Amino acid sequence: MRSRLMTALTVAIGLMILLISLLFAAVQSGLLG
Amino acid sequence: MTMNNRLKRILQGIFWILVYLFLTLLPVMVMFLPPRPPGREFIRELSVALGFVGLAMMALQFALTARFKTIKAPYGADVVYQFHRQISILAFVLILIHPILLFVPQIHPISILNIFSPETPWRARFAVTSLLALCGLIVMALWRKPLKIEYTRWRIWHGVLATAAVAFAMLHVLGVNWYINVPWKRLLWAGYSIFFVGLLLYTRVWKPWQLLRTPYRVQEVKPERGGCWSLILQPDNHAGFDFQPGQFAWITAFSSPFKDAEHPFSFSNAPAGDGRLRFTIKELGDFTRRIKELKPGDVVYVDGPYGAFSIDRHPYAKEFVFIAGGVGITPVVSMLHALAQRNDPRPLLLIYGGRDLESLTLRDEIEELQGRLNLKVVYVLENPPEGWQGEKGYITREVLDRWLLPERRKNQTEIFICGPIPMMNAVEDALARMGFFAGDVHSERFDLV
Repeated sequence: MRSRLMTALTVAIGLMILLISLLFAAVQSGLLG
Repeated sequence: MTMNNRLKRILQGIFWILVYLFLTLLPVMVMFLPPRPPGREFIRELSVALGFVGLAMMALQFALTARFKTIKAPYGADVVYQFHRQISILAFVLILIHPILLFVPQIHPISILNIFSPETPWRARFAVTSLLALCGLIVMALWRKPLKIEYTRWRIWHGVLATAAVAFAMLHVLGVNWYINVPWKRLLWAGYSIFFVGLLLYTRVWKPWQLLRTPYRVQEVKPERGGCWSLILQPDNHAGFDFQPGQFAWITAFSSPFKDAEHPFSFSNAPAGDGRLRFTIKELGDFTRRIKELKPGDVVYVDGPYGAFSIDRHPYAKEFVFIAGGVGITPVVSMLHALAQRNDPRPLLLIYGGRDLESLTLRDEIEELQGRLNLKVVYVLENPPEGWQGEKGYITREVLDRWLLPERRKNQTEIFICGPIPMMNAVEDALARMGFFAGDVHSERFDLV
């Protein structure tokens, strides 16, 4: 149970990092904004 | 546990997760702020962002293992270590993607990886060295046992490789000098470096020095059932520390605290008020096999207490259930002693699994405690003696169904599990299927690496 929660937390953190990094790259490269 | 306590702990837990996320994403947020250097290809910018986040995560790993009690309090130390382990794999993947994204569209030639070539710039040499250290770190952490690396040696290498990985990555960032184009952005990275060096000094110098000033002396080493030894320690010219029954501490014996040769063990006594500590340790590895060599008067160093596995965190529980396997009984015995000391009248159930009746560690103490507590003990034996009427085999769902009655209600029965990892996984799954609320089930895992 706790292991599954921990994996879910790690995946959620990973997805958030990916999202913010994609957003940064899109803005900085001129694809967005 | 009252809802207030539980809510407070949940909020504390969420707070530290948000702090972690903030510090992880801070480099990218700062990169967003003007003045920004000129934009480049999408793939290159994505690679840089992932590299920076990966580096921040690596530096934060040192904070996760620095044993700050405030950070660990809402979760318990073993949960923080489990997070450290899982999140390191995520950081490793991000850091690995960083160069891959640069090489696939040939932003940089692959030859830049040759650190011995005179054309390779120093920033690339730093990056490759950092990555090699990181690969070594991950391989040794995931496969320590199959690679037969002794725990103490592994800990030293883990520290050396982790320090090298972060330090060389920082040098790489300074060498590239792209997103640290203004003084205040450089200041942020200087802050991360100072934080990182500060953590190293705290864990490698300050803490060992504190331990050196508060030594313990061996009072007695006593053999116990099941190949265990009880180590009784007395503070040497200091007051010692108070602990909650069920918690654990890191022990250094046969060595200086500066040598980073500590091992975690649960207390098996109740807080005595005089600083006396007892650890009951099973002979399992190189260190534990030497416990019996300790003599009265020998010096031992103890860093503690740690852990959230304690009845004292749930003062309003109506009853307690303990499920233990093998040497996992030690924190349970600590809690039973504390309950007996306090003349606690609450109903208690102990389900204790082991190979046979003779090898059940601390069984005699448990039987003595039965007379002083409202305690029901159920032994589950793999090899029961002839004519045994009790439970046989392992602690399965069927065993739990027979002893954990359905009228036990949410937020009133607190369940503590400690034992071998497969047993704990099986019991946790069975309890979830039986409808027990996850917040009422507490476990302690010592198989940290």
